[in-house]
Amino acid sequence: MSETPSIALTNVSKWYGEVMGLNDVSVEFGPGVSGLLGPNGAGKSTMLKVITGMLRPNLGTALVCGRKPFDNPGVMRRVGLVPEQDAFYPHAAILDVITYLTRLQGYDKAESRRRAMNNLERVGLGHVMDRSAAGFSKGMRQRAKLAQALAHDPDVLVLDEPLNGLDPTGRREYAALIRALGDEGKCVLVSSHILHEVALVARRLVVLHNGRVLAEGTAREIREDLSEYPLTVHVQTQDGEALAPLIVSLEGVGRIEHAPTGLIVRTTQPNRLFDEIGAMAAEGKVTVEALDPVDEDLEAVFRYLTQ
Amino acid sequence: MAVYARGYRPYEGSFGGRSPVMAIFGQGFRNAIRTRSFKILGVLVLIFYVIFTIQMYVMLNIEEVVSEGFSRFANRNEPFDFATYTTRYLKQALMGFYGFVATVGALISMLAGAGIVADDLRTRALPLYLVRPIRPIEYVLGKALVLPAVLAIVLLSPGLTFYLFAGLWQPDGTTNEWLGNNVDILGNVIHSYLVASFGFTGLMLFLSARTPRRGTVMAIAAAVYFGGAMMAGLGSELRGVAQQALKHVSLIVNSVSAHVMAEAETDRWRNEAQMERFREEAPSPTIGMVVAIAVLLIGAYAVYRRARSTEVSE
Repeated sequence: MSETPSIALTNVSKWYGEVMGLNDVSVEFGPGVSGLLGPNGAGKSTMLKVITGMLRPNLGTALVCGRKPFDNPGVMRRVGLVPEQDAFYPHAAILDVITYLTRLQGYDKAESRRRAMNNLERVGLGHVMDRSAAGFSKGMRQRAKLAQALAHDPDVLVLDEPLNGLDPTGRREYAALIRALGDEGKCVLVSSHILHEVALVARRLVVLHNGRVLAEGTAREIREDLSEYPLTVHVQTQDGEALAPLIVSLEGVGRIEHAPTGLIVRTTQPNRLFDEIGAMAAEGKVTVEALDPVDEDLEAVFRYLTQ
Repeated sequence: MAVYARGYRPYEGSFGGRSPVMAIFGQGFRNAIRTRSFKILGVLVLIFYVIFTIQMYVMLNIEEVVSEGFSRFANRNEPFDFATYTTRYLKQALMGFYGFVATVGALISMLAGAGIVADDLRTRALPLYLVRPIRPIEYVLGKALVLPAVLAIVLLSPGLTFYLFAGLWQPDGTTNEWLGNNVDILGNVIHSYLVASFGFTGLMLFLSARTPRRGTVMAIAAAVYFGGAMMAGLGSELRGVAQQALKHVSLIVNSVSAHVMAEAETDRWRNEAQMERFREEAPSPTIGMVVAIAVLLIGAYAVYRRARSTEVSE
């Protein structure tokens, strides 16, 4: 049994001119799902780019599967990336796009097509594989990105903000898929600026702030650390008036404001709020389009953590 | 933490695999030839090709027309020779054909090649290439082969078939002899194609790797193509170093320079003094090839930098 982690960063620093992207970061990730949490600009994307070989660290060493990923195509045979932004040719059928991307992994056309089909089925897009991604919903596009990352059966899977923009039901299904991949023994690294999102999928979290590792631990440990700190959550819904009385009595909820796009809720127990609203949406009591912590508030949480 | 504690198995496969060059090339080629602009301009070239083929058939196979051509030989007191007549005719025909089609080829390269890398930038697909086992040089090769393949359809294949037709329409038993004696024509066709495909490809790779906007790429390419042709025209009016420099700045004119030289040597420019003057004013096929290779290398390097890292600004 090996103790070698799938991803190992040792004293990695990366800067862009005078801006520090990563500052002396040492962290390891092994099999299972790990979360990379941090506000916008914390260095998450820089770390993911270093891991996926798109950036070379200015200082320190990054190893993926025991090899340096920068300018090392062989490592990429074992890595899958779900980028934050959509990255598909808009006019081609998603099956053709993923078949092509899988061919770039070194498989022949027939094998690539078979793998593309299997993985599109796996992420629940089997019925639309002949359609272009241009007509896909946000959730479908996120699933398609996951399918292309999985098609070559990578050992290391990197997902950049994969739950962004998903509705509560889609978020749950996608999270279940990510957890299943972790349970298969893949090293799955999920980045997010939303604690609740990564807590849905990851057992271990690494918190980044200003390019440094601020905290490491289980979701529960970090959640407990934040339990006293109120968080503002934007509930995007057309059913604000019906939803407000249902959540006002929830533990931790302090204040509810109506907004043009839904409700602004202040709570000390955001996970409870997310779970309850998700359950109500699943039962059909209300329709919820999105649940997002307000960014400025998250910045405050990280300031609180640094104190 | 134990790596294998939850079912993880160590990777036992190879770090090697099939080269992705052909997959990248195939994707780019399909994208290029399914554009409407390629189809429209391709039909235009096809029409032109058919007209030239018919004209060539008439010039080499209809007795009255051939006799008239021979009478031109007689007027100059040159010996009557069908093979020489064919050679002269073909060199002039190729000059006329490529004088027009090289410009169409430039337009095709501009329209079909604008998105060659720019599409990967615009659709943000480049990171998906970068996280695959592709060497930057493989990405460059895959992309760089697309336009030469497209241009082979419109620039190379017509010239090759004209050469073959001319050989086939020789009197019985002399086809191989004619083809062998006129292999320089085949060389000119290939030279012309290579200069065009290297130059056009290099320019489009360079521009396409610099911006995700196809419109910007096409606008700058048009300025280079047609501005270059104007400057080359201006250069031929000058003398000295300025002339030598300017007459080679047009990728389009450079691409037909071999045909221009071949045509000049056949009919119009029999006087050696005139020929010398012509060589001074017309671009040299050799320098044209050097310019095209230089442009190709610059374009390939621009794409290489894109394919190596997202740190293109460094």
